[in-house]
Amino acid sequence: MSDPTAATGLPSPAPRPHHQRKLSNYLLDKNLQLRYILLVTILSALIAGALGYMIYDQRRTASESIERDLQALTHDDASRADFGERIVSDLESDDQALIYKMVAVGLGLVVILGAYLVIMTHKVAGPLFKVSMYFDQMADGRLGTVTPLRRGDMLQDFFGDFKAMHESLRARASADVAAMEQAAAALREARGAAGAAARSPLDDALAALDHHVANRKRQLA
Amino acid sequence: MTHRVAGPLFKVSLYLSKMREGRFDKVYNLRKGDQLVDFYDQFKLAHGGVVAMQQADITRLTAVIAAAEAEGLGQHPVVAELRELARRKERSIE
Repeated sequence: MSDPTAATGLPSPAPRPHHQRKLSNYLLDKNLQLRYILLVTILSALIAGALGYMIYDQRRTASESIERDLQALTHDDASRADFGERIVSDLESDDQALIYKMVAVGLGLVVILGAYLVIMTHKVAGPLFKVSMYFDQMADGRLGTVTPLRRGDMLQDFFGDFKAMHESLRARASADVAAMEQAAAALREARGAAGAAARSPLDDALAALDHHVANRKRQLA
Repeated sequence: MTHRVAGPLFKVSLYLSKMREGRFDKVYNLRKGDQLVDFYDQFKLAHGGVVAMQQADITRLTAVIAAAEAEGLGQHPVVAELRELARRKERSIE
């Protein structure tokens, strides 16, 4: 049975070559992950933008108030006009610098948040991807063993439910195989004890059952 | 957004519990607007695969039971066990 964990980077018994991490490795379910990342990032950017505007507005209001007060103070004294203009210029450049700082912080926030969300959604998409691989195998009637999730993955409870179900299916199918095998042997013995010699439909049915059991054992391997 | 992801997972978890108990009854569709549609479709295919396994077992068992009965082994305890096994499998997919 192929190991679905290989696709999610889980450790496997055989040594594997080192693969370089790519962004595409983190985007296992692009549709789900990018939608979620985009939504949260846009919402965060809007909130940060609104807060930033409020901060800038308050700062600008304070600067304008200082400018008005300065104008009033230097109105009658021409010698202090330069001083007033310099203060006004400083305030305007400070206000401008605040905008640049807030834009930089906002962009940093978006980048950090986006990267964090890629990793977080990967920790959700990874287990879903792994379970999907097992679902594909189950659809083909294969019930091989299930390996655990990586440390740090989300959806551990969900995966636990899946694993418990899978193990239960395997156990039940194994018990059924054993029962069918024993039944085939017992019926052959009973038929032999009854003294039947010629090939009968029961022989054909038991041969088909043997084939079915062998096939099921392969599916459970 | 998270509800639309958690909803399908919750639904699949309920079906997983049923399957764990050996019940493979019908799987219903997701609500409109739910996420994880592809994942859920894969689950439905997996469920269908398990149901197909049960049906294949039933077909084989029924053939053996019929052939055994035709040879006069219908009262054999093993045949009774096979009947019970086939019945259990039939009940599981009803």
